[in-house]
Amino acid sequence: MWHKIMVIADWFGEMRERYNLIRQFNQSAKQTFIKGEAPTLLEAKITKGDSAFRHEFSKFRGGGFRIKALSGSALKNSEMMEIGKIIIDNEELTRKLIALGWDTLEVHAEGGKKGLKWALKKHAKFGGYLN
Amino acid sequence: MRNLVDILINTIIMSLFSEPDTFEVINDTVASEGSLWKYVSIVQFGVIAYLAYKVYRKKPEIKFKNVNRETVKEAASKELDMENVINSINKAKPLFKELSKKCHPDKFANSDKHESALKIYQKITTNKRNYSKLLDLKVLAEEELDIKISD
Repeated sequence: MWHKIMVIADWFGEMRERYNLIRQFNQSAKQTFIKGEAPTLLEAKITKGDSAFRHEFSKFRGGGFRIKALSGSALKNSEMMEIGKIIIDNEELTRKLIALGWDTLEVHAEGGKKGLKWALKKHAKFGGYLN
Repeated sequence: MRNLVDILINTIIMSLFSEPDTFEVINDTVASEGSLWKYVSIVQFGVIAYLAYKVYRKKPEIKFKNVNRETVKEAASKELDMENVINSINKAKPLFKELSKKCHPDKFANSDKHESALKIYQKITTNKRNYSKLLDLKVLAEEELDIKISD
C-alpha cells in the first residue's frame, strides 16, 4: 500500500518536473526573443512522439519533446538541424529528457508541418547506466 | 376419386407453401449462424494478430533494466541552465567560428604557445555547441594566448 502511494507521488513529481522543464525553456526563449538576441521565437511542447523511438521510461502518448518556431523568421533546415544537435549534445539535458519520459526530440519549422526528429535513446550517453 | 383429388391438392399446397417456408427459415438460421461465426473468427484473428505483434515486435535497442531507480530520479531532478541552452541555440555558432579562427594552432606554429593553442582548440571543438563553455574558453584563450577576441 505504502509502495503504491510512493509510486503515485513519484508520478506526480515527474509530471511537475516535465512541465517545469517546458516552462523554463519557453520563458528563456521568450526573454531572448524580446531582448532581440534571437531572430525566432521558439516554443517547447509535449507531443505523442514516435512509437518506434520508445524506451522503458517513455510516457504513454507524451514521449515527444517538440521545439517549434512560433514567430519571427522561419527556420531553415540547417537551423533546425543545429537546434536538434545542440539539445542532443547537451548530455545533462538529454539524460533529463529520457529520465522524465521523453523519447523523441522534434524540431519543427513554423506551422509545424515540416520538421526533423531524433530518437533520444540513440544519443543517451548514459554511460554506466547501460547494460 | 374425390379423396384422391383432395390428397393431390393438399400435396400441391404443401409443396407450394409449407415446404418452401420451412426451407427459408432453416436457411436464414444457417445464414445468420454463419455470419456470427465469421465475425467471431475475425475478432479471434485480430486478437491473435495483436498478441503476435506484442511478442515479436522489435524490442528497444537500449535497455535500462539495470538502472538504479535513484540514479534516474537524480537525473530527472537535476537543475539545468536553460538560459545556456537557449544561448547555445542563438549565439554558440558565431562564437565558435570566431574562437576557432583566432585560436587555430597553425597561427602559433613557431611559438611557445603552440601547445596550449592546440589544447584550447581541441576543447573548443569538443564544446562547439555549448555557449557557456565557449565563453570560459574565450577567457582562457585571451589569458594564455595573449589575443583579443571580440564579442
